[in-house]
Amino acid sequence: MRVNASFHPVRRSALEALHARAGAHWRSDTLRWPLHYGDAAQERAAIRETAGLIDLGPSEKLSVRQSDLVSVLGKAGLDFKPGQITQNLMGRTRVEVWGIAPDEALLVSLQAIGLSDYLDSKEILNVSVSSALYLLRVVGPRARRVLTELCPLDLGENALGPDRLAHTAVANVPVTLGRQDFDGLPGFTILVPRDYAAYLWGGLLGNGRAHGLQPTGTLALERG
Amino acid sequence: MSSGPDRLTARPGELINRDRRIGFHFDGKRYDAYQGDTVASALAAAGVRAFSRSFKYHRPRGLLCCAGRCPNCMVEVDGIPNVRACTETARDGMHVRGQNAWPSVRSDALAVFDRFDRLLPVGFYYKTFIRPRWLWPLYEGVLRRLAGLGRINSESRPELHPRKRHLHCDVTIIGGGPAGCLAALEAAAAGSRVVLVDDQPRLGGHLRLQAASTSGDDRIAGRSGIQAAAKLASLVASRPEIEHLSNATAFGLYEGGLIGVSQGNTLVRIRARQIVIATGAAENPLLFENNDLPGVMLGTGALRLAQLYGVKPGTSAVLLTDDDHGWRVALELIDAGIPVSALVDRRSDEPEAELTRLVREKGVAIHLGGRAVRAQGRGKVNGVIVVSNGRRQRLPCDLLLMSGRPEPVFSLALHDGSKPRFDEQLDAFVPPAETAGIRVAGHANGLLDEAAVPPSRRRPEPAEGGGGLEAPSSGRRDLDGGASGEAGSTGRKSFVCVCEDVTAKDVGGAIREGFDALETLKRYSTVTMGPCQGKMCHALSARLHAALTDQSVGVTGLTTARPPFQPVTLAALAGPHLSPYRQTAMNDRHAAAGATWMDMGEWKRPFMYSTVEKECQAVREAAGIIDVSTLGKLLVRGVDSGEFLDWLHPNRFSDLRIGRVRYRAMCDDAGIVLDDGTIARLGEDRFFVTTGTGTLDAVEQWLTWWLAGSEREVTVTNLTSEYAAVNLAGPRARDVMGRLTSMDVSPKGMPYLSAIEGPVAGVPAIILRIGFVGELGYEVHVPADYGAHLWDALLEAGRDFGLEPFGVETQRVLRLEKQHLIPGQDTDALSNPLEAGLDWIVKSEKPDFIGRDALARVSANGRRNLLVGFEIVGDGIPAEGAAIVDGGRPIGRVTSCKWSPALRKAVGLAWVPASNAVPGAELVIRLGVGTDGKTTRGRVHPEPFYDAPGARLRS
Repeated sequence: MRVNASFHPVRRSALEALHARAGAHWRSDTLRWPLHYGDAAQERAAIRETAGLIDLGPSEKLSVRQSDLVSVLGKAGLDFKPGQITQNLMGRTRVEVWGIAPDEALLVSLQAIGLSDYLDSKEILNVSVSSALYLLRVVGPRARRVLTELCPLDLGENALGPDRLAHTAVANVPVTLGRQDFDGLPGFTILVPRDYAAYLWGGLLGNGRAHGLQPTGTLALERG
Repeated sequence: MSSGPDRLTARPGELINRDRRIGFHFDGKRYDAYQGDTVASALAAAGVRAFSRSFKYHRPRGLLCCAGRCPNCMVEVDGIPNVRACTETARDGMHVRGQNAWPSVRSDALAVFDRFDRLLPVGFYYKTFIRPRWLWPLYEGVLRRLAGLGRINSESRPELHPRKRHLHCDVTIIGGGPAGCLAALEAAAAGSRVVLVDDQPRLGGHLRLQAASTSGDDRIAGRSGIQAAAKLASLVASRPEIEHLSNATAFGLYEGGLIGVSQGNTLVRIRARQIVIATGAAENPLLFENNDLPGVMLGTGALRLAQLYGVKPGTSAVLLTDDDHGWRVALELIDAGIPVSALVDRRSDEPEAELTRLVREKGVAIHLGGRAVRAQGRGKVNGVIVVSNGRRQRLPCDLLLMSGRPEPVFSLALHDGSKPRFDEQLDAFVPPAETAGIRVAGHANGLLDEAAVPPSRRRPEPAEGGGGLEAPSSGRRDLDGGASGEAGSTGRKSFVCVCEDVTAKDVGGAIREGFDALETLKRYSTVTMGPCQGKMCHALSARLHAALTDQSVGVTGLTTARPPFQPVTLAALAGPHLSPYRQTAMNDRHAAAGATWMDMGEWKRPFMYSTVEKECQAVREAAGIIDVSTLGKLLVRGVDSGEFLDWLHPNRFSDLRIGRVRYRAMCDDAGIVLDDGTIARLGEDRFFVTTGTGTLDAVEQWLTWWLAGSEREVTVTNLTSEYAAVNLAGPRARDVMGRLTSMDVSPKGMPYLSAIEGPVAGVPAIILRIGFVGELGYEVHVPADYGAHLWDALLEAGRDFGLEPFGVETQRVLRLEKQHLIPGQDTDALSNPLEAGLDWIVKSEKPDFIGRDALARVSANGRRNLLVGFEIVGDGIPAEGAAIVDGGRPIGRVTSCKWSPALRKAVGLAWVPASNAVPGAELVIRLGVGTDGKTTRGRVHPEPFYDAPGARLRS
């Protein structure tokens, strides 16, 4: 091997092995997240009829912790609401702002890189947690039923409305749970530390299969 | 092989499907059943009368309540003990066994105990088997075999798949009878989210047993009970706001509106703002000799068999009662096809004329002012001795029914600690006044027959069920039969409590011995303490106690009701097996390499890949890599970070230069070592802090605690999950690194204790030039999504140098050769850094830091015990925690000791008195943690065994 050989880093999902076993088709050779598991049409149908479990894929995530976040993030054109998820557009890039706590925001972008530089330019102190936190989404008519077996929180319409988030436990793992419906289907996004992701994936599927929960690629969330 | 002769023609409300047959085994014999049968209904239809043997006397017991309340039909189903046959649905191929009997329920050798009841008086376990003391081991063996209920098969565990559900709602209604259904409909109409919990397969409660027409609510009045039940069920089903849990038992009410419900193998946890308890009323058994003979049943129990399963439990019944309720049961039974030859009513007056007329029309012999004295029969009832108007006569029967006046069932309402009230007018206990969030409705509330209860005594409750079977009239009652006693009747076999075989005589005996308060009587005699938790005997024992102590039942009171109301399996309470574990980014790589695993808290870490010897050799002679992703990682930022870290640690970090890393150990206020790790200064106000694997949470909380309310401008971000980390160590480590980065890795460019950010294998990394195993080392942190990529790149780059992965066990051997301590392993809640050999980190000249005063005191008073290295010069390897002894007395202890393949000896760390902590001092060390006396010899060796000057580490 030559010194200083050029490398082609492969970014791998914490769930790579589980996805591979389920027959995942990757986003690319260097981004090991499943687009689908062989039959995207079936997966689209599944989230409309029962429920799908989705590893939302490589994203840039930045943690911003300070007081007065409403005005600080406002400077960068971002809407911050504690206890809620807001959708923002920065140029053409969609940025979600999760109001984790009154003094803590999590910025999530599934498309962009360079968000951190932009915040730096606005002198907003930010720390990358892109690998640390995973977004697993349960979506479909049976999503709520699947989660009520694993989560003590009231997931009712009036308790956790659209775009609300709460700190709770799913399958005994501490998580942040956000309500994110998709196309009129109930959906819940679980924000979980990376090292628990494989356990949680297995726990969700193991208990959810009885209700028709199946692994679904991100393609199922795109208009087909 | 038929489903037996004892089936009635099809009943309108039956649960069985007569077109579908299944088969199962009971005590080795095959029985047929219809789909929808319970185990009990199928066996009863086949003529089985004895279902179990009683707890103490091994008397045969038959079906009694058929409603899951009594203990009589508890059997073992497919290896699971104490399953109630009357509620367990029969499944094709299931294996059912009788319990508490040897060799079988039909002929139980232990029934001999029934003859020796005089030797087993109430409270016998406090009096007998005490002398002579030396015989106790013999007694104990026998008693242990005989005691207990059911046998747990420890060989094979049944496949249980318990599940859990969390439900939240505005109103939870417990009980699916008319009151519960109507309350649910009312709440749903008001827009509430409702959960309706019912322990039956279908809604309707007692209406399902009633062919007579219903009164009460307009929606059901005038229909037969069975039709009314169906109507209620369809009304409930039509409301999407109502979630109906069928075959579900609410077993307890807990704080915060939490209701525990078991539904099959699922534990449902319901949180409700408002709870309505509509658990109805339950018929009471009566007291007379042999009231436990198979064939003696509750009237509603027989009716249940008939109406729901089309089973005919007898061909000639005598019904005993003290209430109009019994008359109605008699009519229903006759209507269903079960002949009732005689009705014996304790009261001297006939009930209302219409009811009397209907019963007389059926040709039932009526004995007013009569009571049963004794049931007759061997193993099965064949007659009853009745006394009425001073005349004693025998009434032949093969079914003897007890329809004692129903009592409201409301134990759940008492789980919050409130006490029931005795209503003199009703002559019954009624629930306490409505408490916050809990209401009791229908018969459970003592809301009885409209006509019989004056309006002033009615409970204020909207949801009234149909006035039906279980609507008793008022009127005081005396006790029946052998209890307060006919001359010559001793109450010897008049069972108050069938669970624990407590007789009327036992209760009398206990009271005479001084246990005259109900709560002490309960504890002494164990009445109400069996599997039915007082459902069959609560009222009976209270009334008997009142009669024997000559006071009113209101004064006697009831014993405390506590959860669980109905037994619930431990598996259901535990729920599904969900124990979280954490995996590093390289987990799949370790698995593919054949690693054995160890648990560190929730983390899964590779224990070993090949052998300690091989792995040690690779690290000492070439290079090794270990996954250290589990280390806690915190990013501390802000202008006050340096000062804050100085405050938290005995050593100093504000003077750490950018690009340098330093060892850290943290103490609490008492100077006790909490944790260790490193701190790297990555920028002016940016510190990268690592902690131990298990101590991260405590350290993070500690930092957050000290920042709360502080003026310091510091933020702490937990990056443990963000970074995967690998420690590369060994003489060839630099060569490996050189292949993975374009940065200068020379001793000058990347010297010992430097901290550099730059690309490794094409990935942005933090590189710390440190090591835990005493070799040239690099700790490389990369974003965890690239962890596997880094691992692959390191293995590839190091292959031709002989690089090997190594596990935690090898790391522990290597660090012992260097005498590096691990907080928590080698230190405990009394260890300070001055005695633990970390005195070099304590900068007592610093202005202040946590633990400073405590450490100053240790310095002033002198060190008493020290953590020192030692080598074993005798045989064996002492266990961790083994004592170091002097003249047989412990003076210290071993914290770590392992065999070092390189040194060809066992080495370790131990706490010893300061006087023994001198080079070469001999130690006598026990081998085991126990006190079996086997010892070995060791010798104190304060210097590291390997590379004492540390030249390799710094190279």
